[in-house]
Amino acid sequence: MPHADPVTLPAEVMPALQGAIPATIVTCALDGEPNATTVSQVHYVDRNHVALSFQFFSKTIRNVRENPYAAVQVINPVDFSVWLFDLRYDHSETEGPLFDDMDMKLEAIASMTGMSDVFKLRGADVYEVLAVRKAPWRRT
Amino acid sequence: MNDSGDSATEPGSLRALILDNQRVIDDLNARVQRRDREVRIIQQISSEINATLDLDQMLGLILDSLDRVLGFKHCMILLADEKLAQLSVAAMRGYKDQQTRTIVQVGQGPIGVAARRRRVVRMAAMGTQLGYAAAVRGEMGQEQTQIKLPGLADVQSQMALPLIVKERLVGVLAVESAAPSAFDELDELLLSIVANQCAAAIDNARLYLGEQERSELLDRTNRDLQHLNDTLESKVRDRTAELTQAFADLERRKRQHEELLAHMAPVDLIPLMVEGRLQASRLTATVMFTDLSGFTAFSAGMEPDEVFAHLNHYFAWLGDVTSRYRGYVNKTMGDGTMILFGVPVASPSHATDAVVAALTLQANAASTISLAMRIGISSGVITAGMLGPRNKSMYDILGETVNLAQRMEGSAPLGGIVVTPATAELIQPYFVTEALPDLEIKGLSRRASFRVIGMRTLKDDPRRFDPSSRFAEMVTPLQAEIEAFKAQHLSRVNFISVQARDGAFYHNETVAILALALQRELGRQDRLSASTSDIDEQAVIRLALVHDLGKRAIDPRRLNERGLSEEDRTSLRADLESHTIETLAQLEFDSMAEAVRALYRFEAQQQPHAVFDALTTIVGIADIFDALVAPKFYKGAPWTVRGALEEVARMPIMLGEQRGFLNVFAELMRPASVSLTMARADVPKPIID
Repeated sequence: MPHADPVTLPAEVMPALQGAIPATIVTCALDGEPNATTVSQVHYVDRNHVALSFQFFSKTIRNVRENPYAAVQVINPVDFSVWLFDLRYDHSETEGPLFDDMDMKLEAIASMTGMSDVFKLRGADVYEVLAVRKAPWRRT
Repeated sequence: MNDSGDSATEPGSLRALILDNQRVIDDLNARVQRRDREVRIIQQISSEINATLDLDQMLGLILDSLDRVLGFKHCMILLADEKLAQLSVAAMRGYKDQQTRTIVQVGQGPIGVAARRRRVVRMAAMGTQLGYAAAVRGEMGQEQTQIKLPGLADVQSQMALPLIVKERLVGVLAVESAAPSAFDELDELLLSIVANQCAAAIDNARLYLGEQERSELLDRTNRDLQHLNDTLESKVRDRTAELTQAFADLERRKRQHEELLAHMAPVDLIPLMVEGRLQASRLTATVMFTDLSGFTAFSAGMEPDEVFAHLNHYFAWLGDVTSRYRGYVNKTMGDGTMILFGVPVASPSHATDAVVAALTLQANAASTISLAMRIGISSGVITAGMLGPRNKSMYDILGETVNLAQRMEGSAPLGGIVVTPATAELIQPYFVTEALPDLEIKGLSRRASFRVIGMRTLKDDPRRFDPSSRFAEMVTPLQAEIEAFKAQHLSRVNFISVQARDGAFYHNETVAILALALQRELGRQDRLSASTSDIDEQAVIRLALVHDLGKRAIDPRRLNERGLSEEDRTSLRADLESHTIETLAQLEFDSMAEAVRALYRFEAQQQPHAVFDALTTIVGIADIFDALVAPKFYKGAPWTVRGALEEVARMPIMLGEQRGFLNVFAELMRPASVSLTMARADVPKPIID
């Protein structure tokens, strides 16, 4: 465990985890090749865990299963403050309350756009939040 | 770079630390207060909800509270139809256009998903996510389709809460906002509580509504029942009337049916025909053929309808006459007819019926059609049944008797009636016939035949009186007197028709003749002895002529039954008496009822000492005597005059007061060669030596 005391996500960051503004995630393959991509939402799980939806096989999904560390930038849509997370991929859930919650939200959107058959949640990838800090800049 | 410039985050300053702490405390206080306030509000909403059972009113109340008290500006409640797997907007608040009754399929959008999953769906930033989904769809080369759902057009945040009672989904509560992230976990918690209340309330209201509907149904049923009760009587009446009508229709149709069938066969056979039980049978019967002489010439100058009118008039009359004597016009051939007697129901009077009918026809033919008839009659065994092709079959008879009847008709003189020996033998006791020269009949051997002269009246019937008696000298003038009386006073009575029923031909006239003879003889002796009263001759004749007219109302089969039991005889006599009195009433001879009753009492009297008046005694003796000597269908050989006198003398009634009358009668009727002992009324002895 890199930290004896687990971090706690501050209340201020919560609006950033509603999916209003896409987040950016950076991972790294075992061979050291980095990958940055956009995800529609970083889900709040508990005070030191977040989850990303696993809908399609992507570089990110593959990378974190080889090398669990990831860096994420989320933006609070209220004040446009930028938050930086250090994450470590922990596990992927395919059932349970978290999966259901994410699945429902995905289904709600998909069903409104005729994409129910495409937008299927394969898993809820749960990451431990190793560190969270507010960036000294704002999104312009 | 845009620093937030928040000094509170800078450590080291005590003031800042205090301020920071104070802010945290304020914030916590504020949150505690909000929670407190909201809990109170929920309690208030809950009690308001539970106070009403009207669903629409209640849903309005809930949304009103959500807006007014909790600050949810856009909210709606949808009710679930589980069978159709859809939800329908039941109440909305905070929308410009009302979208109630808009349908949301289960599984569609946050509301539909909340219904399917039965879990709260809390969405934020829906615009972004929809855009993202649309982009993916676009990349996949599919058309953009956004399903129209009720609510805000620019919705960003939405929370949909399933309303569940006892594991049953009753609806969805949804709140919306155009703000990207309008609802947090506290809102979800709050609304979850409201949703629970709401669900229970909707369920109650629905139950209540259902109960109300059931209650209304019950009320309606009760009202209907009451109404039915109130109108039952008239309904029963109506139904009865309907049934009566239907029955009458059925009867009418049956009658029409039978009338139609009656064209094909005798009425008596129709029930058998209808049931398909009519079988060919062998009967002893009489067949009569009639023919109109000269009809062809008669109708030569006529229009066709005139010909038919004449013929139909003739046939109608002929049918009437023959049916009076139990005849059945089986068929017509041109102007000719074939008429059956004793068919289909066997009758002992078949031959006499035919002859009486023939005599009646001949007597009236001239006045009916002004043409002469020929009539041939034959009696014997015939075979009867339905004959002819299926679509034209009719009741018909076969046999030599039929052919003979036709030959008889062919050989008959104009206005004449010719019968075969068989018929002649049957009618001989009642009718006078004369033998005709033998006929040469084609295909048959030579045949004898007889011409019917007429009915045998008393003066032509030596079996009913002795030619050597004193009475024989009187009979002709007395008979003429009686015939004159009949013509003058009883022309409305067809005596032959009554007598033909039991073969008591000329019985009434004979009783009158005998009674008149006795009455006059008594009068003569009275004058000689100057003792007794004068008796009204007219009363004697009238009573004698009408005494048994009631026979016309009695079934001939009953009249002609052999060997009646004492009981049946008594009952027959009682009926005869009452029918006779009825007939007299019709003839306006009501005054004779008492005399008729006395006569019937006299004839049934078993007590030797009963006393009757002279009228009753005179007619009684004459009636009993003729009943013994006259031929009847039901008896064998009739009594001889002497035998009959002895028989009458043995009757108890003749042993008393009445003996004197009988002695005078016997003296009048006895053969000249027989002397009678004139016994005293009080010394009962045989009157014959």
